[in-house]
Amino acid sequence: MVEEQDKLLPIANIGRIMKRILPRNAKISKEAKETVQECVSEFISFVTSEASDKCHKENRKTVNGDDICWALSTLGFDNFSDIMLRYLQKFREFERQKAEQNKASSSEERGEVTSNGFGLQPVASASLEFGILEKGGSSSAKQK
Amino acid sequence: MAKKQEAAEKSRSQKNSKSKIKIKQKKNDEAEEPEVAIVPSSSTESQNDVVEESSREEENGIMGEQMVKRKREEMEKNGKKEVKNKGKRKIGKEEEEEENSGTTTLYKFPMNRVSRIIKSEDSDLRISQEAVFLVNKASEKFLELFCREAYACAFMDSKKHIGYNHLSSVVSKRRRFDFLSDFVPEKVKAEDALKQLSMAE
Repeated sequence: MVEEQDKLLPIANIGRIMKRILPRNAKISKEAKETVQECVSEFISFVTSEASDKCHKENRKTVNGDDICWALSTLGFDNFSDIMLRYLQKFREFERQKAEQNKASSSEERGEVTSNGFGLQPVASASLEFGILEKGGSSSAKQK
Repeated sequence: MAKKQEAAEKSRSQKNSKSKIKIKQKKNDEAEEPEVAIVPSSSTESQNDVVEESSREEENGIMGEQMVKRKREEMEKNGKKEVKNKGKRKIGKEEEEEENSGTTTLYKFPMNRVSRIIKSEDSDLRISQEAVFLVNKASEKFLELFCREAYACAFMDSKKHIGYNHLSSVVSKRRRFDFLSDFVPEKVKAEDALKQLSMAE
């Protein structure tokens, strides 16, 4: 049973995002929320498989951000891919700043949140939990 | 605008004298998802926070950092006594969640869960960090899109509650949701289905 749930995104996050989008008086049935939960997971698989097919065709081993953008526009979500490019830039900026912060503050005690990052503390153990292969083998993101 | 938001938040937190900080967890969230954690008690408040969070996220990354600071102060004030949880969380984990909440301004779903879903599709797949982030973000946008369409459907139906039938009609009517047609089929009455089966024979 645990395994099944692992293939779905947490329903609390889903519910919260839905509430944010919908007007206040709107409600969502539990069945609908669970259905949406499954649909989002299906969307993830759908986009990923399209992107990975492209990589296979082009004899590349690793799916990168551009492949995901391409997959989104191919599958009829082209307005997403523009937005994603913007987020990708922000993310790269975020990663760069995090790397700089880690270098600068490796000897400092934690406490202050510095600079204009995305709220990330300059602590080596604070992390975006990436359990997957990092391109370039950067050591800035550490796993817990 | 930044100051207004801060002031609004402060006054809200003062009004809410009980200031319960719930760690909302459902059974499928157990050991992970720190980003889900810290929300104020009322759902209205959490909505506002999230709205502000998202607009900040869009405009200015600095604000997220200040929100984190404020939340930390709030938590310290409350002495972490009134943390409700269903699981086995201890104070050490809360601090962990606090730390990780600083990263939530950029994406809403837990990265490890997203990457696990990707891996379950194909375990040999190699995917970059950036790509996982984009999938995370794209899923969020997809969810918003689907939700809006479903609400439009409910609205046309003169309902304010979104039910399964609204989702299934969105899926059947819009081409871009074709990939979901096996997952969100229209519900049919058993007798109709049986009739169709017998006609086919």
